[in-house]
Amino acid sequence: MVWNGGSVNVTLTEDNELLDEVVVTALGISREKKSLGYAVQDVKADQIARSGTATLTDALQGKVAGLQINNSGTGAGGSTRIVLRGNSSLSDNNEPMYVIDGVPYDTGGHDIDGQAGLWGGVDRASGAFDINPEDVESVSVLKGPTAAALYGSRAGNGVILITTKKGGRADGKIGVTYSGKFTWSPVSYYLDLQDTWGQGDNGEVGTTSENSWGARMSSGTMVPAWWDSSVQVPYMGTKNPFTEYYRTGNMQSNNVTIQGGNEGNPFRLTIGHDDTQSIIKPTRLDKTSIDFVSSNKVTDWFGIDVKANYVKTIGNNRQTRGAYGATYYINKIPRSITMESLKANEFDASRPGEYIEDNYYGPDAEHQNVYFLQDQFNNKDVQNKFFGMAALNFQFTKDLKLRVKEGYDWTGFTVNYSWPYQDPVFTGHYPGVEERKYTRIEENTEALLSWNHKYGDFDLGASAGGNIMRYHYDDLWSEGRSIALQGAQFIAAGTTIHASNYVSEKQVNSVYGFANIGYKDWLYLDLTARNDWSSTLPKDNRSYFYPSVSLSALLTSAADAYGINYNHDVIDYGKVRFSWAKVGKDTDPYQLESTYSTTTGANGYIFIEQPTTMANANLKPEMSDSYEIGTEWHFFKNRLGLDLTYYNTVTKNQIMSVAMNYASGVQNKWINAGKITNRGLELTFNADFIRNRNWTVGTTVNFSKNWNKVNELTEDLKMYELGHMTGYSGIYVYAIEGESLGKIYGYKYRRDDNGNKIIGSDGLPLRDASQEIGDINPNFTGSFSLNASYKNLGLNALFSFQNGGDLYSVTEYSAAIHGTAKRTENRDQMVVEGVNESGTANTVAISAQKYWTNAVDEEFIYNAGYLKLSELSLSYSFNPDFVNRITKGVVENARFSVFGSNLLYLVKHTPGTTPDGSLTDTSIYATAFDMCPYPGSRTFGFSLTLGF
Amino acid sequence: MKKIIIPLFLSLFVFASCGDDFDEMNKSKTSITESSLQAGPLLGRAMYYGSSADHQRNFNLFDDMYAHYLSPMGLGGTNQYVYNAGWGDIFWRDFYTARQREFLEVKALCEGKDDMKAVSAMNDIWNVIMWLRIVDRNGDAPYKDAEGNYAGMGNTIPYNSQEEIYADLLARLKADSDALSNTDGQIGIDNYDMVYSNDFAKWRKLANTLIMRLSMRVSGTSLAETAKTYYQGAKDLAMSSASDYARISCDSSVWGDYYDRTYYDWANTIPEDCFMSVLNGTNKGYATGVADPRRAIWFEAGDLKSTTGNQWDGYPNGTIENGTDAAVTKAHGGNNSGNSSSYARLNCSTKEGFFFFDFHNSANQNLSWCYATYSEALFLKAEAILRGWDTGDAESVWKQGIRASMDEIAYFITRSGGSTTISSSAYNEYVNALPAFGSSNEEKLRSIAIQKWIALFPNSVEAWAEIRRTGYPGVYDGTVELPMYNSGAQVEKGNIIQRMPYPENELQTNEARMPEDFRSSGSKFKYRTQYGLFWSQAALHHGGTLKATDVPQNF
Repeated sequence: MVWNGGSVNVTLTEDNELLDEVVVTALGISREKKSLGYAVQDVKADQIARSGTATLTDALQGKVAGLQINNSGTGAGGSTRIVLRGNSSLSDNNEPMYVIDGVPYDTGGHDIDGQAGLWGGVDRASGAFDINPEDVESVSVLKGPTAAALYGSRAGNGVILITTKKGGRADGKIGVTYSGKFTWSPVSYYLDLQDTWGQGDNGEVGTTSENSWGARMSSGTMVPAWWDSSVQVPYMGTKNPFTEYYRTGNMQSNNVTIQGGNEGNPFRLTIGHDDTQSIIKPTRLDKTSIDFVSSNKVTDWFGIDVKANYVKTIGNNRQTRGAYGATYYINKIPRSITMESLKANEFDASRPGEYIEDNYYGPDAEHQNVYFLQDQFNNKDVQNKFFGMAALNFQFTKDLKLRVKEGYDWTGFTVNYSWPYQDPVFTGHYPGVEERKYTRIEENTEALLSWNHKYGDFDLGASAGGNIMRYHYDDLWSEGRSIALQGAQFIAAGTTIHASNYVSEKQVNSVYGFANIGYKDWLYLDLTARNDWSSTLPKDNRSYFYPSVSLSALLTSAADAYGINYNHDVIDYGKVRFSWAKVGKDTDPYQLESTYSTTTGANGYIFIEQPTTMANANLKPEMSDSYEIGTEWHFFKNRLGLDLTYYNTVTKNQIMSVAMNYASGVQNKWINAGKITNRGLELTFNADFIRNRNWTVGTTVNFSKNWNKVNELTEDLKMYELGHMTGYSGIYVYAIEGESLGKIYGYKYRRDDNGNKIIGSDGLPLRDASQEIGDINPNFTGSFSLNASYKNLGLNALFSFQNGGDLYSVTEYSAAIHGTAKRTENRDQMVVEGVNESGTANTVAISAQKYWTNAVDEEFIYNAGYLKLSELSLSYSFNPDFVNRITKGVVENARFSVFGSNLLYLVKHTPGTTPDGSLTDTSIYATAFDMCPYPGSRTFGFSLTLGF
Repeated sequence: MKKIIIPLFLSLFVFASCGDDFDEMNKSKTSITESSLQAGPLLGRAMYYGSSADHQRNFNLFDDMYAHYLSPMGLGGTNQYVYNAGWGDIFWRDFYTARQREFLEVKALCEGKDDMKAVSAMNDIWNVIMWLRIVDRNGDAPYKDAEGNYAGMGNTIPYNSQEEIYADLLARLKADSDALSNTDGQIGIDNYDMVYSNDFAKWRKLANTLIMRLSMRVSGTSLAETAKTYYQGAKDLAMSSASDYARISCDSSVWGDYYDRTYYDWANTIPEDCFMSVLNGTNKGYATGVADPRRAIWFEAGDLKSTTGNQWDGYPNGTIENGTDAAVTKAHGGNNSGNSSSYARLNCSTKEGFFFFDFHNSANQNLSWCYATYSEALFLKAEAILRGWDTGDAESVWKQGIRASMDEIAYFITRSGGSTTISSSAYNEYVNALPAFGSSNEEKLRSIAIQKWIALFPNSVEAWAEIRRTGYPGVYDGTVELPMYNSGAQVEKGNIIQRMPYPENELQTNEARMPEDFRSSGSKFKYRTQYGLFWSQAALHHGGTLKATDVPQNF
């Protein structure tokens, strides 16, 4: 029985296996790893399987040096931000490209509900969510542009190259595999709240206050209820509103695989179904996927490969995130208000039948009843995604072959919303419905002619190919607002109806070629060249060329070839490598010509809207220039391995939108400018401490350090704003010339030359000018894993860490000003330490309320560093003979594992919340904020794999 | 077989490298280019977006408070003279990047077309209204060159002085009025003229009323003599009846427009204490003992009696610190929990209300944004008489102004089916109870200015300008220090705000051309909003800034 789950045991790799290790590289070409002049890191199926995470991207966390993953704070089905080797693009184009079985895979998200994730909107995840981890054989991470020089434009940030399982078994029979995974995710990480003081202000009970600056809570104190002042209720709230409001999420995943075919003609069919209940009550995701792959060798010289993948994902009632999401409101509910009372009184009882929202305060935009939100915000999205390819393989001679391939990626997405009740916040809108449908298609037609030949000591290879990429996006949106007919929930019932559409198209034609020369199996030289023509650039700059060179030298093989002695018992393998590459990047459609849009505005008028960004008819492609050097060593029969890389990437000519003087008539202008450098070190180290018949115990360490610098912006712009939040605080995130990319600016307290805070006559510390209060860039990141196995039992633990990097906690800020944050628990009058403007010590006492409601930004900046146990798993592979015997031959093999993820933070600085799970969108600046995410979860689960 | 495959493969290269259809492909299919522009959708947008759109951040959080009309209860900050650039810069931004472009595009579309001279004049008048807001908020501003070839200017846009801008705006209004003197054969902009429905005669009256406004504004400056001439040429062509008001109907279904959202969400529309006490007749500096008959149309009483026992309380600006005043936090418009406001609030709940709206009805025509009225013209005339620019009895013109103001309200209400008018007896009772008109010019001006301030409501833009120019009404009548101050304020404690700061965008991209004193290294930068504009008599008589305790001096 063939089992594709991989082995639990650490493979006992011998020297020759090291030399023969094959990895998948650009354009789907398998290469011997030893011949590559750049770093490639692989993650295998078993590493993915044992992580127990629901998505492939989560499973990659901590397994690749230099790969930084931030999870969204939106619970199941949320987006993930992945960056390889640091941020290099100012236009938030930092995500790597995904390629599945040689075909570019569209991971564009469905971030359609809000312009910026910080301000509400719903996270409908990105396409990476749709990759079934069960189908994945291996993931190769091509980190730098060097590795990606052949993929062109979109590969500038690296490539996540996914190879799916191909099926087939030696005996040609049909095999069936079942795998199931069941997980539970209890609410685990949320803001620390004080549990002493109730609703009110100035230390007194106040049942109409929005704050928790009141008196000491006591179940013996009776106060008028917020929903009906004639009812008396205890002045005591819900101890933990988060666990009360959120629930334990769960997921079950079932997959059945049928595979067979002989060596030359394998096929594999997987049907999978995931059912996920998010920690936020109404949200439920349902995903069904079918994956079929088959290869057919028709004749000696001709074969066909086919892959067809269909995924249907239904998201029910995903909820608003960030500001105006549930956590945002829960954080500031006065501590003496019970969650039950909010649930029971979401509608105003004095106006029966009208369904008017009620709340302890307001309700208004800043104070919504969180139970009303669940009932009011109904939405459903359905995504149908088809991804597939067909390839024809021609083998003309032993040395010459041609592969012609058509790849197709089609995403159809529909989302509809309905708000059944009036809403005190969106007056004039609701009741209402909204519907949006779009399709996104990417087609790739590709041909590659390859030739290989061995002349004496030389292995020669040359390939030439071309690709046409066509992209089409078509979007239709409509809404019916202010529905007057009770219960009507369709567009035509709206008293005002709006609709709009949008179309976007793009094409990139490319030709490329590469040559590789191997000498005596120890020296390898690769040369590549690619030219793209992009429809998004002006005629004169449309064509851009980029080459790469890489060199790999196997020192051990060279020593062998030239008879140089070294201790073979100690050194197995030693290699040095160097590569240099240039990669070009185009831009989005329609940036060359300023156009006007139209809207249906107030009172039904059609208005013409001015473009706010000035187009630039002379845009040039972005270029990045990079080199890397690295070395890889294995010792003591591969018990010790070390891989070290230094890289340097310079990104120039960035296509960015810069702020213009408003009086010029535009707010922004597209320009080519800037120069950003990322350089860094990546280290992977593995060691097997024990390796014998029954036992293996080993560790793997990944470490990376990235130095990031904005060398140049533009002639008259030295600070480029990546984003800001106003209204709450004036937090800005900047790229500043000469500094690292992502400086957080906000207010600090004013201090004298000796560092004393300067206190005003009212006892409050004075505020200084806006200045740097943090930096989003970590000092270093990494992970280490411990793997132990005894016979068929395997234990794996993965710890991941980040050192440094800063985060502004809007979560805590919004709670602190309302007196609910744990930090505000001490309510004694305080004399803020500092001096007054004349230099004498401050003696004016103020209340905690006065202090915290005037606290400035520096109070809420946190170190985003952490060390956590991110995965722990225990698995057991049953002895096939035993399984066979007790199931009377029905089951051929079985494996059972239990696992946990995101289990424990050993080091963490944020106040209850997590530093790495609070992302609200995938932009650079969002990483600077902890903006009221859903609570973080631990996940526990088990999985079972049965082969029939 | 190679014979077939290789040519086939090579042909792919040929195909891949061409891209003749790329230019066409890279043209947006869902937007229009300059050649498709039309005057109506451009000028219409300028009118609507220059007034009610994004109203809270454009007007309510600044002018409404600075004019002491409304209080942003529950929202500390801007009412304490702390400037929030994220809100306050929006008007400037949208003015230069949209309003001004719309103006220039319409102007270009009218160029050389004999039947579009009237549209061109309407466009120009509207643009002057927009410019007036910029120059009255910020003083010196990029004017001449911004009007010209904006796209090519990059980030080096020179400034013009307030005096230059005022002089040019007056000249433009005069030219517009002349252009509208004969409108035979002129076409309009269909229903896009949301001010006057292509009634060119009324546009001409508006132009002349604006000339009166602008010339009176500079009556104490070096432009006074020129202004007097403009005034005298305009006074007989200005608005002559209450039905001449210039107003735009707002759409309450558009999120964020006018007062709908602000009223319901953030209680930023509680009447300010000073304004409310004047309407109540209880303000110690303007005690009449009689409630103003306009009060119950603009506002409605709080549902619960507040601690002072008055359902018609206003809320004082500048006192609240992040909602710490427990007594007022629940006093919240739009509260549906049954515990309603203990303060008066904008009248949104009856059909007779000035601001009546009902969010079930998507497009309520009653919401309106006022630009100029007949009553304003009368108050301007009354002042002109004091200044010797006009003839007549100032006091009787002043009383006509009060009557016109009351009539205007009735117009707004009857227009949407309401029936409330203010009766002669109510008017007489009110007028008879007013403090004496005064004997000195200064006293008379105070009477005129306070009534003008009431009548201008809700045009807080003009009201704030006139408070700054005349020093009236001295909001707490000089007996109480203004509480509108906190440590982050851009004025020194005790001073009254005189202008808006230049937007951050200006400091970042064009600082070298800004007036030197207001650059970040400049002498006036720290307290940059306290320095009077060139027409601010009140401030100029006190060394350029004005304290709440300073006595106005206009003659």
